[in-house]
Amino acid sequence: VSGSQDGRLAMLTASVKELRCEIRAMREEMTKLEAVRAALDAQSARVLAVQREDETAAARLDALEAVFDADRVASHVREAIARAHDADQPVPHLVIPDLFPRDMYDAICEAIPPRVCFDHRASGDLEVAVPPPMAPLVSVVVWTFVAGVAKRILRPALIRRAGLKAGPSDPTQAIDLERLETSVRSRIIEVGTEATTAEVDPPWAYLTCFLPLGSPHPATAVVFRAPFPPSPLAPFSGTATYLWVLEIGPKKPSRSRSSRR
Amino acid sequence: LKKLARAIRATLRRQDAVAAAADAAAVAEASRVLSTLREEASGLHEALVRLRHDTENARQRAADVTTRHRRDLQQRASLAALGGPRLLSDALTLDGRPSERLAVTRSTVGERIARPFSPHLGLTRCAAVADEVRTLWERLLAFESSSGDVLEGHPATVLDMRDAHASVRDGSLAVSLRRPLSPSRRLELAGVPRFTYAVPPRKLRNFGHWLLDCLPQITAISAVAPEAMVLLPQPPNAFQRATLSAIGFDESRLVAWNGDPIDCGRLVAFESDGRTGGGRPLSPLMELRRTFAPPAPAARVRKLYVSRRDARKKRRWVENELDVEHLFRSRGFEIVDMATCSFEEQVRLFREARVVAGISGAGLSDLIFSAPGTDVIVLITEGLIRWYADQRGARSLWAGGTRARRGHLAALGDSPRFYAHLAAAFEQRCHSFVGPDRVPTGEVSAFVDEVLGGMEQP
Repeated sequence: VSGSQDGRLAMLTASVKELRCEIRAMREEMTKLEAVRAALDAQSARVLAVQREDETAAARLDALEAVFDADRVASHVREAIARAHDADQPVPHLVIPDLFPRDMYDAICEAIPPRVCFDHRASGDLEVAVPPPMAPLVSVVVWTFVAGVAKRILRPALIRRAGLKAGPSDPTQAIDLERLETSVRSRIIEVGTEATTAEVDPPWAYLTCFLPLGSPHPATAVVFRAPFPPSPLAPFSGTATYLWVLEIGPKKPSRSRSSRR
Repeated sequence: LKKLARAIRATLRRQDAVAAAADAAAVAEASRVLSTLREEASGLHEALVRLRHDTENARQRAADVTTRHRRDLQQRASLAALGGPRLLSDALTLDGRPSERLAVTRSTVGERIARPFSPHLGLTRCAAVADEVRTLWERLLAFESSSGDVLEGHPATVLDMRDAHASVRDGSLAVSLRRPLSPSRRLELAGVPRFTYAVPPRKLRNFGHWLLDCLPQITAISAVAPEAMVLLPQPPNAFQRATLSAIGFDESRLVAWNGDPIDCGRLVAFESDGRTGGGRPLSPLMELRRTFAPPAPAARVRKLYVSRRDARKKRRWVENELDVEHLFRSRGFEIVDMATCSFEEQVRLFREARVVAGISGAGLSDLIFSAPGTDVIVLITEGLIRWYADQRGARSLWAGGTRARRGHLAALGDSPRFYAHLAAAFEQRCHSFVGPDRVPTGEVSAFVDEVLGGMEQP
């Protein structure tokens, strides 16, 4: 009798183990379900945000036509960069007050996509690409214009200006962007409370422009050339909720044969 | 005392037995409960897996909806862009406030095409004598192999506009959505193909250009607005009428237009044919091919050699075409002269063809009617290669050393390899022979025999 009971007890123990496995598997399934639910929530929130603001889009865009006059903006940006001054601390960088015309600056701040359109970054902050792929129509149109200005006006002007004036502190890391084909990446970042870590993304860490969004006039952009200061976002953590970040780097084929000196 | 001791032992034995029985009952009950719990847990797990599967499907559907929504958003954003709309054609301008431009619809016609090239590539032989031609040919093949093995094409796009005012200025279609100035005429529903204003008249008279570049535009406009009056720069000639009839287009819907301002209740303007680089518009061509709907003949046995004797003298490319025709005739080919064939006859011949041969030229554009699996032999001469290399624009991209963008094999499509790319898009097998303008018949004979021998093998 005792031997048979031992056998039954062993079977019981095995059953309990299997039950634990089943529960663990269910927990894993639940986690996966939770992830899918969160993704669905985010998707539906974006779609709703897009639809909600669409009704007034046409009238708002008509009103913005005069503000976003391509020639006016281009000459303002070129003049702003010509007026920019150099600063040495914490590392050499360029300071550009009033990078954009004030009415345009106000309009782009107003067209920052709603929070649901942002994605989480590894650092915990939120970011959205520019132009935003899924956002209210006015946001997409306004930030597409900004992306165009960045590519056609800001990129060549900054490469010329920063290349001449803002020398890198480590000459071995320098690269002559004027001699290479370049591309740009543009994002809006919601600055978190812990935005003090360096955000160095090697393919892009050559020339980076930060513009705080929602600051009182004059809104001042700063431009760093690689290598970055240890905490490039730190100066903005108390002053702005959002930052526009424009990164300029050599195009991929150029990177491999880049003239790092 | 002995009795008492026996009684106590007996009692203890009874108690042990009772306890053992109770333990056994408890273990049995626990086993039963555990077994039930495990069954329930297992059932629950299976239900969870099914739920996750269903949720995953729902997520995929939601992703598809979001993708469509995003595409629609981007289309609208491109039309309502500040500073002017972003159009897919540089020969079309659209004037209007963002709110007016938001009322424009961009429709796509057809599917994205991505066809592998190399599986449809037959024999390639270069017997060119001139060093510079050999160099050009090798450069073309090198570009081809570095471009990615895929022929790409995007769907055609058509802009659909209400209360629009159109005119032609410097080879561009200018459309205004603002108040009309002083239009000389008005149409309720008009369609404007791109070739009406952006293609020189001599190209419109070329059968190949008409069939491969122009007709797909009318097909796309008709898909969006079947009742539209289509504006053409000149009255249609015989082959244009025949091809329009073949796609079911009523000739009474054609309107001659010299580009003067016109006021339209609804204007449907062809915007882009979705070609990548300088190739042919593969997606609209597949739509056109579907519109012609070639029925599969019972047996495809014909061997056709398309003569180029009807071409203009400086575009014949071959000095000894009679010898070449004799060669092909000796191999059982019918020599066909497209200038003397009605359009219906051309369609019938190409549908029944097992193999089609000819010198690179417009006559081979009828391949659009041939079935998948047809073998195509294209003869390319040194003169033709030099001519392509001397052209400006997409035709000579390959010759100038400009590297085709990755995945954009079609960027080389308008090159001496053009018919090989077209045949591959139609899933036909193309063999290319490159030689001097006086075609070396001996080498071509061997080449043709090799192609025909390969066809006979299972």
